[in-house]
Formats: sequence, structure tokens, C-alpha cells
Amino acid sequence: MGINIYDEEKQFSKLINDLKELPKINAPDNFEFQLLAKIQNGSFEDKPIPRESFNFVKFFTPSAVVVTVIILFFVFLPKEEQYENPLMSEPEQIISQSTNEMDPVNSKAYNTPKSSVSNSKVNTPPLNVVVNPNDAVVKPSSQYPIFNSRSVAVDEYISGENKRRNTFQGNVVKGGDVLPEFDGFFIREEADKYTIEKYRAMIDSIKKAQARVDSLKRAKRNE
Amino acid sequence: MALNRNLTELTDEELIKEFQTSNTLDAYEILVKRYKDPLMNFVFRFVGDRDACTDIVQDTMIKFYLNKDSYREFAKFSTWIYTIAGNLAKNELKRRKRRTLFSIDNSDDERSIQIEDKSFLAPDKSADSEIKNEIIQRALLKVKPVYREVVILRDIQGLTYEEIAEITKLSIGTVKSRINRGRTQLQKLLKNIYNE
Repeated sequence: MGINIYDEEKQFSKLINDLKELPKINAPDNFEFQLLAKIQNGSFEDKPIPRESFNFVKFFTPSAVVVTVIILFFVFLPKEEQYENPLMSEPEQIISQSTNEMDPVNSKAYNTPKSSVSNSKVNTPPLNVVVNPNDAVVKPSSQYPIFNSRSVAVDEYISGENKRRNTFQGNVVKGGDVLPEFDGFFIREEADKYTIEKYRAMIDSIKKAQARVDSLKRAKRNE
Repeated sequence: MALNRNLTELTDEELIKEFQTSNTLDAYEILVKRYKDPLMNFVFRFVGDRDACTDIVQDTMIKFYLNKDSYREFAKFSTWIYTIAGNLAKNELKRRKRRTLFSIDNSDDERSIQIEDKSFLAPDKSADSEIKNEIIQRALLKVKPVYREVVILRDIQGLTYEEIAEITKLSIGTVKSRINRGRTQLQKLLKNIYNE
């Protein structure tokens, strides 16, 4: 151990010498005078730090605030019903488009610029009409307010040829290609056989009358 | 006067015993005279600030005055007073560290170095040694306080390992290893001087 210490001291001999040769710092001349003055004044007295006694107000005020905040957090926590899943909802742009198509007042087709309205004498709602070379006017299907696949021909319906699978599905008034939420009106009762027979008889009598009228016309021509 | 002469001949332990039993202020003053300079040197090397160092040594002496009865005969007075001074110096360093944490523009490099009295040296020599001493003091302040304390006590104050162990309340082995580490750190910091 002694050898080790010797080796260490040898290793740091220069450093140790320099440290030993560092100039000594002496106390200022008035050190004792100041010290004795302090002692005689008694200004140095070690005052014990008073321990703070338990204060109910200091303890309960912050804890009450914390509890209130927690309660308010749970009271005003957004409920699941109010929460809208962004993945499930329709993108905003599409919604606005569909509502525009449905709403005749706000739709693009009806909402013409003011300048054009002032220029034209009659403020007619511009319909999207396609003009064929044969001058037949055809409305584009996308603008037609009735949903074609679910519409019903009245004649076929009366004659009983139209057989619908689901009687609870009524015809739907729709805007554009997007199905609205409102599913139209329901026809809850099927037409009975008696009514059908009645209308058939009427049609037959009309047909017979027409045939008689035709035969009379032919007879007149031959004369 | 005769009493004073007698007191000056007493050892530290005898003086403090006199102060404890008879509350003799002269005994206290003699002890202050004996230890003010060594403590000033120790605290200055440890803290690196002369004003703070004076305050710390004064506080040490006041503590000694107030708590004279807490000294027990089996310990050496020197180790007891060095322990008080060392604790106060460490507190000062902690306070400074806290202050540095909260202050924005406080850097160690900008701290001015205290210049010692060099009147007894030749001008050219004094200039060189002054710079060297400044460098050593700066390096010393960069050493970790736990190592710095024991290096100062051993190599500057010249205390024995046993005394240092008593002051720092460490085992002699720990003191030795800390001194060794402190010296190694210091030598690394002063490599420019010792590689020449």
C-alpha cells in the first residue's frame, strides 16, 4: 500500500509541488474585528425555521379545485352519440353536391348569376334539356326527379301485370343519382280483384265501342 | 497579559476546553487567529471567490462560537473546524449551482480570477507564476467537488489521510482513491503545462 502511495505521489509529483507552491490566501486585516462585532451584535443568531402547521384552507382549496375540474371533465365529456366517425361520414364536398342537386332553390341549375337574371326578361328555371336532331325533347335521366328503377306504370299496375316483390317500398322522389334518406310513400293495400275486373270491363266496352265506330265508318265509305 | 501568554502556549484542544468550561473569549480569539488563514486558504481554493470565502470563514467561526459544546474531546479541533468550513463551502457551491440553473447569462469562464499577493516575487517570475497559478486555480475549480475537497486538504493544506478521513467522514481507502482521481482529473485539465 505504501509503495502504491509512493508511486502515485511520484506520478503526480509536479502537480503536487505546484499545488503546494500556490500562494497562501490570508484573511483580511479586519477579519477578527468584524467577527467580534458580529458576535457582540448578536445578529448572527440562528433562528430556527418555523415549521408550518397543517393548514386546512391551504390543503383543501387546491384539492377542491382539482376535484371540481375532474367532475366537470366527466360531466362535459363528449358523448358517443355526439361523436361523428370521420371514416363513416360522407365527405363534405359530396354532401354539398347532393344537397345542391336535391334543393331546387340552391341547386346550380336554378341558381343562375344575378347578371343573367337581370338581362333575361322572364325568370324561368333553366332545365337541363337535351335537344335531339329529330327535335324530340328528352330530359336527362340524372335530373329526372323520379327514381326510374323503382317507378311504376299506372296502366300496368291497374292491369295487375306489375308484380312487386316488396309492397312496402314506395316510389322514391330523388335528386341526382344519390338516394335520399326519405323513402317516399307506401301503398299499403293491393288493388282487389273486383276493382281490376271492373276496370277491365270498362276498357273492353270502350274497345268494343271503338270497334263499332270503326265498322260504321268503313260501311259509310263503302256506300 | 500573563494569562494570555499561558493561553497561547495551550494546544487547540486545551483552548477549546477552556472556552467550553470558562467561556473565555481570549481562548476563542486565539483559536480564531490560528485557523482563520488556513481556513481562508482551504475555502478559497474550494469556492474560488475571495468575498464569499471571507463570509464562509466568518460563518465558520460564528458556528464554532455558538456550538462550542457540540465539540467532543476525542476529536481533533482542526478536523472539527475544517468539517464546519467544508460543509459551509459545499452549501455555498450548491446555492451557486441553483442560481446558475435559473440565470441565463452566467458562465464560469466569465468569472474573474482572484489575484494573490505577489509582492515577494521578482516581476518577471511573478508574471509567469501568476498565470500558472490562475490556470491551476481554474483547473481546480473544474474538478468535481468531492475530489477537489480531498485534493486541497491533502496537497494544499498538507493534512494527513487520517485527518482528511475524519473531516470528510470517509474511510481512508475512499479518501486515497478520491485523491488519486482528483489528481488525475487535475492533471488532465493541466496537460498543456505538464506535457511541456
